[in-house]
Amino acid sequence: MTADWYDLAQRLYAARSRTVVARLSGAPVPRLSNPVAIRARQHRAGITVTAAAPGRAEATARGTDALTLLHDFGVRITAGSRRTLVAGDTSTLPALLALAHSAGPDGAQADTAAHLAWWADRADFPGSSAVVSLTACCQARWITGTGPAAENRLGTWLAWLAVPGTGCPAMLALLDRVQAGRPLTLLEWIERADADSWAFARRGHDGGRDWRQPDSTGQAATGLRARCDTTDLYAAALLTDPLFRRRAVHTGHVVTGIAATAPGSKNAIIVTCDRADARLRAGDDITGWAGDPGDSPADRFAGTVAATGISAGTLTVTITGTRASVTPGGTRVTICPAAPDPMVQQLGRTRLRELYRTRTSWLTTGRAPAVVRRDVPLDIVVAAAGAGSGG
Amino acid sequence: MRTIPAAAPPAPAQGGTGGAAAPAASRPPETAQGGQGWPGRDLLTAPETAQVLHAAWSGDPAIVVPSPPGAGKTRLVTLLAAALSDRAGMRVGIAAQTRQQAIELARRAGTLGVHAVLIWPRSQPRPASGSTPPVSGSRIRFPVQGGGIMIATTARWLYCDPHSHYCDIMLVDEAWQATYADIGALGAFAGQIVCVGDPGQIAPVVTGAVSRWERDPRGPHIPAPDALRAAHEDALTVVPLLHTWRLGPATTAIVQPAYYPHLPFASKRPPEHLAGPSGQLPEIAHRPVPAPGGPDDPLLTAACAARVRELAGGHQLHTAAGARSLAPADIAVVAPHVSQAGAIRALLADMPDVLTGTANQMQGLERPAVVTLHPLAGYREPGGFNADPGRACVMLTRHRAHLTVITDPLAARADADGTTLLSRLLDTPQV
Repeated sequence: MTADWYDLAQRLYAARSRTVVARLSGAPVPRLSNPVAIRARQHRAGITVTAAAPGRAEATARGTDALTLLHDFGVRITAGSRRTLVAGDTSTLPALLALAHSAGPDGAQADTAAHLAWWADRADFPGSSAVVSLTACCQARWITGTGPAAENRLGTWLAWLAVPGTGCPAMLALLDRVQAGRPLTLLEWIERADADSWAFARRGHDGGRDWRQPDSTGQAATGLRARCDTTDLYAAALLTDPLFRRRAVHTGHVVTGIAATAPGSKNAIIVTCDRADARLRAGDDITGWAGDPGDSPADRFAGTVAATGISAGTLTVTITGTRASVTPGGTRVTICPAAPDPMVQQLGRTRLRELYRTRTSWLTTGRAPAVVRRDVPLDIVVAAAGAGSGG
Repeated sequence: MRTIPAAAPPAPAQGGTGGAAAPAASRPPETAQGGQGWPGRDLLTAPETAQVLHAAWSGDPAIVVPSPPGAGKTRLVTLLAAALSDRAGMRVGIAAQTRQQAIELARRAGTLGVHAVLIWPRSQPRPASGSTPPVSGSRIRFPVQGGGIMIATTARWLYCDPHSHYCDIMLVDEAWQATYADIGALGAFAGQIVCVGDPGQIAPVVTGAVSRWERDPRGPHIPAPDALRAAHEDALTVVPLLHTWRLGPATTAIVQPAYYPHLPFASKRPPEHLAGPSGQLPEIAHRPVPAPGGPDDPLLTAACAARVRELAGGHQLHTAAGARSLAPADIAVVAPHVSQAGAIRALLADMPDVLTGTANQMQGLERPAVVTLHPLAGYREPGGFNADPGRACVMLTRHRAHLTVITDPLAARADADGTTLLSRLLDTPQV
């Protein structure tokens, strides 16, 4: 079965049962303590913002009044705690960023604009506690009995999950459904990165840094690395969920098979896989356990893929660095890529930042390079001119 | 930007048209000690490679070498490193994009008799790097006097100390697979940088969102040479390589205008072809296989496997060295998706020597004969992953003597404007 067929089967079941089918058993976002649901639209007359928060009624304002409204909702970089943007569509955040650009450089509106700019930056980080896209989170957590395109609309989810009300209050009610239950493992690291980023943005604002300025080469490089690290971490977080793993068998990200002791080695096993479409490659670090993808045992083994191959029409994966006694011959096992180590990721970002602080390099600073010439032997000059030396 | 004017590409070699292969120019030699006196001397046999050496030696800060598939990029990097370290006495760093590429560069450097080391994690099994030793920890260092070469992956370089491991020049192999963010960090290790790579192939793998820089030609996610050109055009020296030693004239005629409009290259491949019971096979051909079941239709993977069996059963490979039977190890299959590659591998379980994989896995590899499952096969609308030009370019440039493309006539309807590559492939002979 392919993942497409798996999805279709779930979708057909949802249509028949007229209820959503779960794709995750955990929540794809951490528990949020300070959400504000916002709907923003750009019109010729300006930008209209409607907002609501737990304990605060829905309110609407336009133009600079919209900035004041958001400021009143606690959306300001100088606030004691950061707000989480809860958006129900893809047009709200661009409209908020446009609103931020309309703010003056100082004062309360600038405080709000800096918070909006921080949201725009963190929106690139999946699993973040800074910005929650309700439709994306719902699609991660459930599947409906409608077509995939309909799942991009907030109304589809409000209807399928029978969430009462309309507008921003309904968005907050939907958020409660999305974040119900235990958050996926590893999301706490993404939340920690959100907190660090928030503190950095606050310090920058206090120090007079203008968020409108484009990134330096170093900021862009570390920003990209942070995005990639978070994306990789979120992908690993999804694989910690047993329901997600069942689907991932059909994409090749989770491998099932029968383990056997590798001949002549106490620290290697060979897994004869059920399917041939595994994405594991030599050099990949793995984690595994005895049992099926839906199991979540505490007792796991780790190792590194030493080789993959086809034997008698079946894919075999040789794993080293794991004690063969952990998986006696004939044991049914499940293998996943090992999750990235957040501490190692952090170390990598720190290293990258340090390299970009090397002020002597024209590449790290972005300055024009200074050319230092060397004398070139005549035979090379002649050959480069096209005559060639003929070897 | 200084683009070194190159001589016009020579007339294509007469490959793939004659009967028995005639002796012809072979791939440029890579001899130990370069034949006479100093390693890397072979660079002087072609003006463009001599120009790269001249630019690097004379001190040009940024040199970009765009190269078509099969132009000898790895050869250029190793010879350039050998020449600069041995004859110019420079400390040369080489950054590869994968461990396999690093091992291959180290192995080749080892054959040239120069001082080279491969930076390698102590925890990993010893690589097959030939006479170039893998080193870690305190053994990562240049010789006290004279030049030397240090080879590592880009990722590994970032954990080195830019002060104690400072180089005179950094050579970046497969530079179009590196991001500008990568190259910027490597800049901390050297004041000069040489980027060698193939601009037509798969872009760097970037998992994170890049919307923040999507309109910035110097964005950190952009392939390094392209961003270098945008950021430092005045400091850039561009020396294009003009010949492919892998692709024959028929493939070059299709691939060059489609994927390399700014890199006019020609085929210098010696005559090479396959011949079967019904005569000589065309260099590039297609086989239509309707796939009503979409990209996972078993008809597609079965057609790939069947074509491999046809080729392996009674076809002769004719090269300058003579004729011999085509062996399974001479054949590769390239599929767009992991699931398709897995299915084909299973169908060919009795032929384990056939190389089967996705475009990403096949980058840098070649075989005399290749069967490719067209990236749009099974799709009714091109777009996204399946229409990525870099991926398609890799899939159509892995062969030397013969390529069969399995196409889907139903998919062709989505490509009816006649301007895309699939339409051109339909003009090739049908097999």
